[in-house]
Amino acid sequence: MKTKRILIIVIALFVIGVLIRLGLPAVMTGMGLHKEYEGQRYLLSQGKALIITTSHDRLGDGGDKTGVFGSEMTIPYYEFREGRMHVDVASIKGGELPIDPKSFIWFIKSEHDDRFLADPVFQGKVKNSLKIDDIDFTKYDIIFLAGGWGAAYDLGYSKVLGQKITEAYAAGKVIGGVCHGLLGLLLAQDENGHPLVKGRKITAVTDKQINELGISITPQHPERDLKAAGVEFESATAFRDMFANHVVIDGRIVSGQNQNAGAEVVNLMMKVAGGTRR
Amino acid sequence: MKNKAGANRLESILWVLSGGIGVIFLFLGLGFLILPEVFAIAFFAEPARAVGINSLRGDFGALFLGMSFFCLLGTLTSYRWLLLVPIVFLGFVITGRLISFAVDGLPMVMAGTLISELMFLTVLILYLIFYSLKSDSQSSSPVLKVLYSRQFLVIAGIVIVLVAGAFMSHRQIATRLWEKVASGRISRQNVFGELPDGLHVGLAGTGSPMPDAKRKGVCTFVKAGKHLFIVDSGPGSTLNLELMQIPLGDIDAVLLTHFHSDHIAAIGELMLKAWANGVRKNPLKIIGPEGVDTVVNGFNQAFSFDTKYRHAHHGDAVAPLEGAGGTPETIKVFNEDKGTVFFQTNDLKVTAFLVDHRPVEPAIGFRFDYKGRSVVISGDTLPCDSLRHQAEGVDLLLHEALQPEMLRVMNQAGAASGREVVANVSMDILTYHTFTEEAARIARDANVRHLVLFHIIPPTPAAVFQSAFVGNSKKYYKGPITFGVDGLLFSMPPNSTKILKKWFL
Repeated sequence: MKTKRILIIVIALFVIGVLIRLGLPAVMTGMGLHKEYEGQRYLLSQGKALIITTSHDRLGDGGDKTGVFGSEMTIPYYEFREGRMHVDVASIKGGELPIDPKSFIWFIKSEHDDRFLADPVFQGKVKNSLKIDDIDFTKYDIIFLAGGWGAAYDLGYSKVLGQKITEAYAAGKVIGGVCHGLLGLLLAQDENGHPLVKGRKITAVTDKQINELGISITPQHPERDLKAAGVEFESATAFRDMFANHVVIDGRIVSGQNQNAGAEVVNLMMKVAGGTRR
Repeated sequence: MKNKAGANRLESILWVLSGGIGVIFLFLGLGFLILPEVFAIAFFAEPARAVGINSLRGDFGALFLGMSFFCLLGTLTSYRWLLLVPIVFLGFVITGRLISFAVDGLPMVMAGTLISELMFLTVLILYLIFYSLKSDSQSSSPVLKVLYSRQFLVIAGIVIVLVAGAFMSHRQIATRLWEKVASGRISRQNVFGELPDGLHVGLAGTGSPMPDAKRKGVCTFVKAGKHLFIVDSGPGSTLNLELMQIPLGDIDAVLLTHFHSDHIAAIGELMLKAWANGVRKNPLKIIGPEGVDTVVNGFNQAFSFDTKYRHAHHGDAVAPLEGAGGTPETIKVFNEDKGTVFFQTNDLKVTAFLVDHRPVEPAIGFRFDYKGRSVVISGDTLPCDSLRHQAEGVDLLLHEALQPEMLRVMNQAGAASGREVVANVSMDILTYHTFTEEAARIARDANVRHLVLFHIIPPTPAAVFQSAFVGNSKKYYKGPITFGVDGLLFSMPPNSTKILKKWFL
């Protein structure tokens, strides 16, 4: 009798385990995490895109490992590639760029992350990322700023990044990003020498999401700091903001609230850059 | 006692072996049913025409599944005499192979298979003999008795004599048969002429520059009423046009979308065959974008010796010099959206429009309108708005298609095995072709009635890969999608919505 009961419990646990393993990623997607982009896609044949990430790999001093949120780099990379663009990957300091290990947890990671993990070419670009100082941003049609907690430590403080984005914007290029990546716009200027973001409609990670996830240790917070810089901040909300999704186009600046907006932001950037429907 | 134990052991061994043979046949049968082309390769039996897959699944599947069924039934039940069925089949299979070795004069590559079949046959016969010895005469099956009966032996003898006679008079039969076949072929030439009025679009080549055993280079014929156009002339495609009995002498014009090798390599042969087999009195008109004169003059020059030889040999009646070669005609497309109408009668309008195949410039596509029916042929292109515009509401859209996921796997395999050219080319071509799902979205946006994918990249050696190639396309486009194969013909009767799909090769 006893052994039978144990057997039933073991089997039940096994079934529950299988259901969770198979079902949880689908539930997360259903709630809005990395929801499949079903809108119009674009291509920019012969175009070049630059993805910029953080080089900062720790939360606080000696805290948990962090970096770029995986899918905020992988989804744009593959969407640009499918849009027939050449894609380079750069970071603030160059060299191997840090990826937030939490973004690759099995029920969080996207299918594009899986693709990255099996793609030696892309992995090579991540291991040997370009240093932004060495790049002429005006050679690119599109500049994409990826987020993740690491970006809150360096993107908004890099004068080099600010200067390079200023040059790219002046040259008529399309600038955009998601999540904490948009902090990279803070030090950039428009053609008239005014702060680029002032009076602009932009979305990024909300203060609510930061509170919900309990990670307020980072020195910058997109909603707070962009608003302080004069941004007309926009966002959507959900029962947890990490499942919300919002995208804003303001002229040549395209922003997405968080990791869920990657594909849409990238396609709209290609559209703004003169891309073709595909 | 000892004898009996030995007999029992022998019986169990034979039981296991026969069961194993049944399982092998089951595996082969299911294999032919599910992955016919893959299994056909092992038997050197890939069908010469794509439709042959039907016989692979049906006939080959049935042969092995049938043998398996009776082999397992005979082994697992007490009706041991059912083993006679696979024995008879194996006997005929072996006979067929031996005859082939004797008659066909080909290398004996199937000898290994023959040996395993002989082994299978031996096991099954041993088992059956063992069984009939063991069981006494009353319980022995009536079926086995029939085998030993006089009538059966007489009938079997007659059959053997007939077959032997047929092989002895092989040559006479072959000669007779050839008369039928030859006259049949010549007189079949009217099949194309007998097509009813309407817009007919035939696929004579659906491949790409990558070698594909099933597909010739890109070539499509369009018959609209009395007019006949050939769009593109990829390598090997002239042969397909001839096999499809297309009257090459009646071609109004050959239309070229651009000058990549897989679209022009067969022009020389097409001009020659249209002239020397079709008895043309004037050169073949070859219409294409800027640069077509260089291409056509080059082919004319390359084939100039052959032209002289044919004329010297066959004379004016077959090969009049004034009809040799081709004359180029350039289409200039200025308006990106509207395209250029370069051929128009009361019923038929042919339009050329620009597509995006950069760095190949200009590259064009074609639209045919005939009595309320229409087809757009994409040429090679990225998804582009001019094509979307031209394809608005057409009956048939022939769109080039590339499957990036399948290509990516090839790229990684190429990189892993150090074949850098494979790795590089498979990445480069992504940038100027249309993905399968993009073609489906274009068909959806343009409200196309039927989408045909052609210029298939990468080559898909078996039908089983079609579903992988089509991918999620059906999610985007709800209409019918045909995966292009050489030999398909689409017929559209005038002023109707019907699209009839036929086999024409």
